Amino acid sequence: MGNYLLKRTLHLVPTLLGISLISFFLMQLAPGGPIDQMADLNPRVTPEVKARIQKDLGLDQPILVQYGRWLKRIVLFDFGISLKDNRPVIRKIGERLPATLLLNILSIGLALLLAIPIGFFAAIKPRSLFDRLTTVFVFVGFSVPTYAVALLAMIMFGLKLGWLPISGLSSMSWQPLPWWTKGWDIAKHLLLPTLVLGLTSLAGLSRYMRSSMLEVIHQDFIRAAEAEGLGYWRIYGVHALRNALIPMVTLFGLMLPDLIGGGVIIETIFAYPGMGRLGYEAIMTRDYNLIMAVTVISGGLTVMGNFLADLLYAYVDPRIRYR
Amino acid sequence: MKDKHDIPSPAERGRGCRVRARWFIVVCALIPTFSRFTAGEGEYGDAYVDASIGDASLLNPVLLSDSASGDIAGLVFNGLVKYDKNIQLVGDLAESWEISKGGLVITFHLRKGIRWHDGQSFTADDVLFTYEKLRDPKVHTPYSSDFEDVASVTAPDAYTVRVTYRKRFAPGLASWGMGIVPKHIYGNGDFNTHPANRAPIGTGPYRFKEWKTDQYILLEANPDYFEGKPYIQRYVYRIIPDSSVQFLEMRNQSIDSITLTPDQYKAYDAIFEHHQRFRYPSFKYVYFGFNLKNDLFKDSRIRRALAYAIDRQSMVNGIVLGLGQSITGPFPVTSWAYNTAVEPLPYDPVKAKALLAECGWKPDSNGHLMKGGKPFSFTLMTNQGNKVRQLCSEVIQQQLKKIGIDVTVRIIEWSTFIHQYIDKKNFEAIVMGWQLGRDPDNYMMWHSSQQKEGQYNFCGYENPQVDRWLVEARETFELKERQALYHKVHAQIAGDLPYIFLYCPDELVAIHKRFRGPEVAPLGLAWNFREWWAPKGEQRYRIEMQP
Amino acid sequence: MLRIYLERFKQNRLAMIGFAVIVVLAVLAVLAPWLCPKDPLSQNLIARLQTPSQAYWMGTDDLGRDVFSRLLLGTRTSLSVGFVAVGIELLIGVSLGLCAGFLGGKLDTIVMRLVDIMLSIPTIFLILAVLAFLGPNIYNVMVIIGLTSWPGLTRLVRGECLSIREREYIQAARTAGISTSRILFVHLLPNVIAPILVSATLGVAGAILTESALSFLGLGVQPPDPSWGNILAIGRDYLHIAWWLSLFPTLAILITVLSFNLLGEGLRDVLDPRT
Repeated sequence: MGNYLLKRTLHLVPTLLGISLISFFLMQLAPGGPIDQMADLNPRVTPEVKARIQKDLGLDQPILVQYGRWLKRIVLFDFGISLKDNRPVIRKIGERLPATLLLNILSIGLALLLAIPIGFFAAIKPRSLFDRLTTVFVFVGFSVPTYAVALLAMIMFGLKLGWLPISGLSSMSWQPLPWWTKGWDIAKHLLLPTLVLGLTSLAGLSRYMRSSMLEVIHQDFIRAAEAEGLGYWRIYGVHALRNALIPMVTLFGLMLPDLIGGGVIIETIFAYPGMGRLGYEAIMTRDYNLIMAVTVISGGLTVMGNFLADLLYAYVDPRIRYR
Repeated sequence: MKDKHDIPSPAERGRGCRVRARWFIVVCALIPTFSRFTAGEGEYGDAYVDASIGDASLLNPVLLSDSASGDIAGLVFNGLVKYDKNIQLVGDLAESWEISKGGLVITFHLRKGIRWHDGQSFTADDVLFTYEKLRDPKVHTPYSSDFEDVASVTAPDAYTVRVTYRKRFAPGLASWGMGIVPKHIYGNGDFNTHPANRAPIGTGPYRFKEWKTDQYILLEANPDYFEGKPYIQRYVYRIIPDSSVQFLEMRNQSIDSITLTPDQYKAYDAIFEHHQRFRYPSFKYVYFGFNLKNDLFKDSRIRRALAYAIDRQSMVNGIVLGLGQSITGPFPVTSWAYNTAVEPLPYDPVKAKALLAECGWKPDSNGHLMKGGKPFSFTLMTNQGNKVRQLCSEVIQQQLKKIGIDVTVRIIEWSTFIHQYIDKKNFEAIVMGWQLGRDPDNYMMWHSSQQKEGQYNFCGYENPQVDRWLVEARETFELKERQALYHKVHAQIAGDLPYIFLYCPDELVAIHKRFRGPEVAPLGLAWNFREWWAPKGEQRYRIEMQP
Repeated sequence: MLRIYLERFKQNRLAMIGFAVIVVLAVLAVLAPWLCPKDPLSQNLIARLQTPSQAYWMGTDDLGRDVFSRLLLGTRTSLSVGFVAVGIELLIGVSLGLCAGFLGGKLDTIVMRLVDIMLSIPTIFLILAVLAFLGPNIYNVMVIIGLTSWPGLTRLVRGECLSIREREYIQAARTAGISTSRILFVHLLPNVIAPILVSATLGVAGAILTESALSFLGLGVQPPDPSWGNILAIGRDYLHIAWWLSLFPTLAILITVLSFNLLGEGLRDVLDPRT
């Protein structure tokens, strides 16, 4: 185990380095410089002013020097300041990360809550009516563009029925309220984005669960258990299910970048203050330091997530270590 | 506070002298007789929830360069002067001013007894400090060029500020509308990254209370405001990045004000059950500009012919649904500099063809205009991400096709467009727009000296007469004289046609009906925001005051 | 063998439906320019935002263009985005996967590191940045979706290769001195084709959805060229006054993406009997 751990840790280094390289050189594709957005054709910004700002930001240096300097800084978690508001980038990300994690954990939780039983029952009776209906259902959910679902939900539950707020994270209210009222208010705001985001990962998760379960069912130990005459529920509900859930662990690492990315649209439409929207807005305003930091940090998080998932997997399924 | 900036496309945000002007949009009227509601008549309380596409960046008037920050800073800070509803400069933090030595010296007399939101007194030191920061090369301000001609700023006493210019500079007075920042707050620490940029202390009608990044900014009425406490207790600036969601929120009454598209403005009335719609001319215009150094467009008769061939009224009707006005010259319609005496060129394709024939362009058997065996064709460029400009290009393309001119439309990414094509004068014709300040000085766009790379006379317009007038206008403080000069500039440029001026779109806004006081004026809508109020019975937000 | 697959496939009704829809769509896409009842690009500002009627089956958009014709032509755009993107994905993914899986060694390590890196960065940021910087147009959209979607496929193909590599007939071919490229393409590739096919089918669905998401953010295929994504993106501005501008493109995307997904799942069922 120790050996595996060491090997796995060493793997992290080139991966993280690669992520930083891609993040940095992605920026070099941009025509013009980062200050274009704030200065272009604004008669009040003369070329001299531009040159001065450029120099202040170190953008007049050769590209490799810039990369080297940047890499040196990010190792110490110094991602520079945002060109938009002169604030440390790391703090801006720090503000968004909890919101993104909250939304993602809730929606993964919701998706799992639905996906596991759907996959489980679909696998026990493959090609049954239940299997087919759920297949169609999860794929319909997956096949509609998210923002269409989101807008439809907003109109239905927000505008027409008035059950839920349309966007934002909390209501405007300044009376001293007990914490449960405030909590309920936030919960209501979170419900729609969670549902919509969860819907998109439901298809993948439930299909994965189904095939994982099918694979287990066909394995010898289940047959053996059946031969031994163990009860139906004991075999499927306990032994098979447990084994089918193990590979799901590895899925989390793979899902993370998709979730942060999926946030771009969900967060924009629900006016939710998360990482996806931060990254998107940074790209559109060419906030160099921020774009690089968002890609590096979300990449780094994914790498760490995968790392933990692998360790967990190795822990629950010892065979893996010897592969 | 209505111009929203749009993160997805920088080009869609107005350009030009945009930011400086923004200052004056929100500030309230000084002279009580101008307003329908005098103090004591309105009822206090309630909150006003505004919506914006993008979040603010820096709540510091010296540093900010986006409209969201400008919206907030306009409520929190004051300048020495401001525009009244009729776009006339009046005192703000300055009670009065004198211009002496033929315009080289401006002496501001500051109001006494004004306090910063933290209780400290406002004095001439703060003005001096703000000026120093504007001129400090380490400060990332986009406004330093406004103050380049200032020789010195001194404070003979705590309530007098004397500004000396190197040369007479009439737009200089308006530049003192720049929000004044407190010295005692910024005194220490780095100005660019100072924490107060996110928790500003100003002198304005509203005090900063809370900023939840990308969610909302909350302001609270300043009870000690020198013109009296605003009626609306709280101002909320909600960030809702998607405009269709903003519209849903408006219908749901969760926001009280929203900027509308022409289609939304014209949507059926039931949608606006709780909101009232307002419409007023903006300070932007869209134009079809030529590269005057290009052989094809050198002859002004050709440009005139093209102007006859473009039906500008149908453009206004089709593109902004009639919610705008066609214009004849380089000023916004509401500006005092706009010369209403200039007659618009009529839509007359026959005349257009005749003029072109005069220049040697004759139609061949297929109706294509030819001269010396070459067809009349050119590329019309505009930047990507601005729907209106793309539409205008397509309409121009269709209309010129009717008289036998072949136009290719090219839509180019913003940065490339500016640096590879505009700056290098590597274009034939363009569709672009300007958003202008309240001061009409447009020397930078039309003076012949402003043609270098990165400057704004990229069409290459040169007219010695106009050059003289522009310089003279900069040196003339007397409004009537200055106006006369700009009227001459307008008439001359309208005749020379370096651009075909297309139209000036209207600003379209909806505001919740419970608010009394919104009134459209030349300056816009929110000029008297401090005097808006909602009757107690209709107020939607109960605000319990902390002791 | 093929016969058995075919039989099994025919029994899967959902996949059959999906397949039929895709065939119809492909035909529509090819014939679109001749089938459009109206010019999908010509504007008529007087007839803007018309409700669906006999003249305009699915109404008109904000510039008075016929939505039905635009959707038809959009079929072509959206499907080509899907197919070209997946084509690029296959080209990179399969060749890297085969090489890494079969040749192993240093190459394998490098390719797998690359895969790890690409799988860690949220693809959408790469796509958005490239499109924002280089300008969005249909070619950039296709290429960048393709360029960012290969890592999953590479990993899949490599995995399959690893398991086949050790089989006897490959070992026999090697000892017989058959060239590496011949082994790769003649002996290995046919045996990994099944998972590739499944992944490609699902990939087309994903690319179409990605394009529509990009259009929502203003970085997809640019008007006046119609794509389902950009028709829908325009529709959202008129949600309250022109429902048809949102409904029809949503349905088009839903039906198409669903069909590809069902087909892909059906293929998986058929070709990979384990699951």
